[in-house]
Amino acid sequence: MRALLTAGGTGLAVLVAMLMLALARGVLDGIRESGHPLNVLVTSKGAETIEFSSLDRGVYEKLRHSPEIAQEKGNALASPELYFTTMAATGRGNETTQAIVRGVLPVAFEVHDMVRLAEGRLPSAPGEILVGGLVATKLGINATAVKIGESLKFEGNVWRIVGRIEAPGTVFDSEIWGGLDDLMTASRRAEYSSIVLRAADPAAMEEMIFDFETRRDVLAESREESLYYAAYAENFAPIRSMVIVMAAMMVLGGVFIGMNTLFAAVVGRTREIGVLRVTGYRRWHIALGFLVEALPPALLGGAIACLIALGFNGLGLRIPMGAFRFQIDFPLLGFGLFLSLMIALLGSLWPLWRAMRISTIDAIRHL
Amino acid sequence: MKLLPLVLRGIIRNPIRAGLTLAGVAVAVFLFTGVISLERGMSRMLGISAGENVLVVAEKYQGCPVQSKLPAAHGDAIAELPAVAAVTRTLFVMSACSRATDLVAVHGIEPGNYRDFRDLRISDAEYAAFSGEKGAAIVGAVVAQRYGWQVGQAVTLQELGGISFTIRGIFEAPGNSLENAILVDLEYLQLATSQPGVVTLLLVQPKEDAEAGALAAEIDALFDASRAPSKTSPEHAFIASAVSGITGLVDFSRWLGFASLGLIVVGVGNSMSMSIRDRTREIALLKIAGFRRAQVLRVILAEAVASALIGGLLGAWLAAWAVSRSAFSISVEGYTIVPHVSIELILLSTLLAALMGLVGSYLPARAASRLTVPHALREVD
Repeated sequence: MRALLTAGGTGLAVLVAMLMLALARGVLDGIRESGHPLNVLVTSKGAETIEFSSLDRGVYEKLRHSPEIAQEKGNALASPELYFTTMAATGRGNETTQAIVRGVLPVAFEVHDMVRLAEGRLPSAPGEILVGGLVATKLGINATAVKIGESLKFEGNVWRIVGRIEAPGTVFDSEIWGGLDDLMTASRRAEYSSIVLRAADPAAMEEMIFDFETRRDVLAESREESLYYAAYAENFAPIRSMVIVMAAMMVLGGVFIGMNTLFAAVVGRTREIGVLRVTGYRRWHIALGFLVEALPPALLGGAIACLIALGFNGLGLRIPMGAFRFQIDFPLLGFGLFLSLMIALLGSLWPLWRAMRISTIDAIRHL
Repeated sequence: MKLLPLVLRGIIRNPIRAGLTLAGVAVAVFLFTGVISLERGMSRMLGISAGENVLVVAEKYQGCPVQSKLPAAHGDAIAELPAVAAVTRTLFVMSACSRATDLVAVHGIEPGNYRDFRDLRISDAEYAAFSGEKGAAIVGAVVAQRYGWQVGQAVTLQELGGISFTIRGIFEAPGNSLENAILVDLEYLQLATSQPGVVTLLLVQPKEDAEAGALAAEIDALFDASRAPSKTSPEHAFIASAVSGITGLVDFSRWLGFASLGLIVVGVGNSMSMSIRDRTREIALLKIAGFRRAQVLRVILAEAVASALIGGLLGAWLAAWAVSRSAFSISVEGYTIVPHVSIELILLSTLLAALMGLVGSYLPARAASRLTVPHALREVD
């Protein structure tokens, strides 16, 4: 019974800690991994995020012929994009929720190469859109409402879903993608939000950024896309710190339970310790014995926590800049088991120290 | 009450065990209170930031409220509607929309009637000084404290394209998201950001006998065919929708908070089962002395509940202290959520801890109360 309760306490502490860490990791990594190391992001001066940026179409015309831009089948990998948040409703409903929309040209799939068309086709006519794998989560609706053939209403139009895009673990997964011109017309916007350019190599990227920053005919700000997303993720650092502190406290709670159990074991078995000491066992032999006893319940709890955590794998959660999916992978499962071991070890330290300090005379007195 | 000495003796009999149990309960309740404080902060912000009976007019379809853009002239057209008592225009300037923390927000307001819509705690003299000077600002107490700003100081915000102002007052608006904002004159902000004639939101106060829903529809109908159609909604619903992006995180955190309470069930249950095992002799003696099953059960349950109550109160109080000391806040779409621990939350957390203690100790207590004297004595050396 006692072992089961200890396993339960350890398991609960490990489960909550794992989910908290998966949350912190999912949000931050999801944002960070959205940037490509060879991409340059161009926004308007002073805009901290792309949704606050607006670039004249002329900027794109001036930049797209830069020699540092990588080419694919004779086309420059330069992607002008429109990015905005809107209020969207399902085709059949009227209740609106916040949605993130990106207007793109086909070249966007080359520039953001982690995004792939998983199902359906690219938009070929006005009013057609693609939805990311987490759009339903972001909209807080059933996944069947964003299947191919269904529609969404936003910006005063009805948009037919013709394909599903996938970009696991990135911000693109919670976005709606549509034709650039189509979305610009619908949202009555005349300017792009950003331009993403793929550099041929790292040296070309540095040159490109230097060139754009020093050109007098282009009033824009350019930076490495990966740095943009890293800085964006950094905004969420306080949330990560809070989550890590809470996970650590949960572990501490588990340690207290384990410690309580082992103390009872040590105190309740002073007589046994006496017998062992008299028969020649050293203090550290006894300590080792108790430690070995403390590990199985903790590991059992950790293993159960890992199994339950696996149930959360793939579950979507809405967050301010989109949505993310819980990813319970091997490193996290390993960390869960490591945490359960740590709980057992930390919880054992004080009781074992007490066990080792019981003198042979005291122990014999209990015989 | 007669059993109280027995209960207290039970708790302090084994100080290490009692200490570890209390610490475990305190940690779990600290976590629960901390997590729930975020949800409470959100409700508090919604309750306080939203003006009673106020309608908000924003750009139709805009998902990020601070990016809404409407012509200032919409305000004049709305003011002429017979059901409208007052209208005020605001322009928000922010560096980001979905940014989580440490957001700098500047609101351009019409000082003449803004205080009819918002309860700002500031001296009339300071407000008058602000109203009479175009480049002046009043700043929320939270922002002033964060940046160490003083009245009379001239500030330039590099993050927001170099907007400059002189601080003429510091206001308080407890629980309101405005405490994180800098208020300047509307026209001054429009010129400083090259947005003449543009506003973000219009706040509308309906007349007392007016029906808010009908008025909202009337306002939207006014601009439906214009180049800038609007969406009018009650302010509470408007803010709730704006911060809905964070509800997933808040809901998830709440579940983790409840899971952490599970630690109390396990911790107290474990502690009581060990305590009972050590006290089999005492339980036998109680039975010999004439204690009935129910009385033994009550003593043990009372001991568990008392431990959970003390640990719970300690954890909740520590969480309240930590929340009040921390500068942690989450900003969503221009609205700032600050965790809040009220007396009511401290009481709720403590009571839940007691309840969890009761649940955790019930099985061991029931087993102890059912011990027969011969059986109990057999267990004893």
